[in-house]
Amino acid sequence: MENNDDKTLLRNNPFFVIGIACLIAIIMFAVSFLSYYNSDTRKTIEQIQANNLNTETEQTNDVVVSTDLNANYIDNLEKSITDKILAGDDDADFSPEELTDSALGL
Amino acid sequence: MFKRFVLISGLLISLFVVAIPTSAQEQALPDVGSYSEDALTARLNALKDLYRINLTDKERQSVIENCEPAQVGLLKISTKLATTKLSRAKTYSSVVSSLVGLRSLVSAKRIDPSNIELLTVEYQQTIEKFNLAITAYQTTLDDAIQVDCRAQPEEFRASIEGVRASRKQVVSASSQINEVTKSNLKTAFDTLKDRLDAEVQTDGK
Repeated sequence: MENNDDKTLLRNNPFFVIGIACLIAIIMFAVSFLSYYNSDTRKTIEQIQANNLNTETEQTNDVVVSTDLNANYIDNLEKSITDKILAGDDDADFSPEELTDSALGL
Repeated sequence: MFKRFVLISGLLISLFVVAIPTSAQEQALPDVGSYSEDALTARLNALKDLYRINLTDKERQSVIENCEPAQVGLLKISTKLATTKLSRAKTYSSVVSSLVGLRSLVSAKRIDPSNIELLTVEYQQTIEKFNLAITAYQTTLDDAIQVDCRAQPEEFRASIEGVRASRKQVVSASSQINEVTKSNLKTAFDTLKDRLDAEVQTDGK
């Protein structure tokens, strides 16, 4: 009986209820923050910010940037990047054949 | 009611407690840069445990007899790898520079550069993975070359397994870069062209 009265007293105590709500809010904030902190999204955003900062610095240092941006320029750049990257031959550069027992003479 | 409060709070606190070690764990990066005798021994022992290397007398003898020429072969692979690493680094760096330059041009035209920014970061992240993988590959090769293979045939055999495993990681990282190029690059550039067209049409009106 006395126990039930204690519970009712606690339930009706606004400080207790607000305290619990604050505790839950703090924990939820901490969990959300940690989830964000560990996520790839944070890394991506930070990287974008770092890149933008670098670009701004470069722009103030190098004033002359006057290439005309058009579809042709973009197509050429796409081709140039694709050619450069796909020129790397993984089979030749990191061949599994040269690491076999027979190739190593083991 | 009170019990429920306690239960929910307990659950949330346990979630919080689980989340903290996870974050701490993700901060620890593999130390592939340092090279010392102790680190070499530690890595070889770890590989020996991982691949559970137990050689029979015959296998042991075979490794002892043939391991030194094998180490010469591994040295050649390592030398070739250093050249490849340099050339890939140059290529990837020039690609990122081109994209950073493109972003400047896009911003100058007052077009939203977000897709180029995202593409640049995708490249940077996959390139970072590649750099870590190729450095680890080089370390495993160095380990296999450095180990006293006649005195430690099990460790040498384990190091060869380590080399093979780390080579796969390099190929996987390189494939990811190729994948970004084949799909994301095209999508980002197509979007950019659409935005450019829209901008030209807006200016024309």
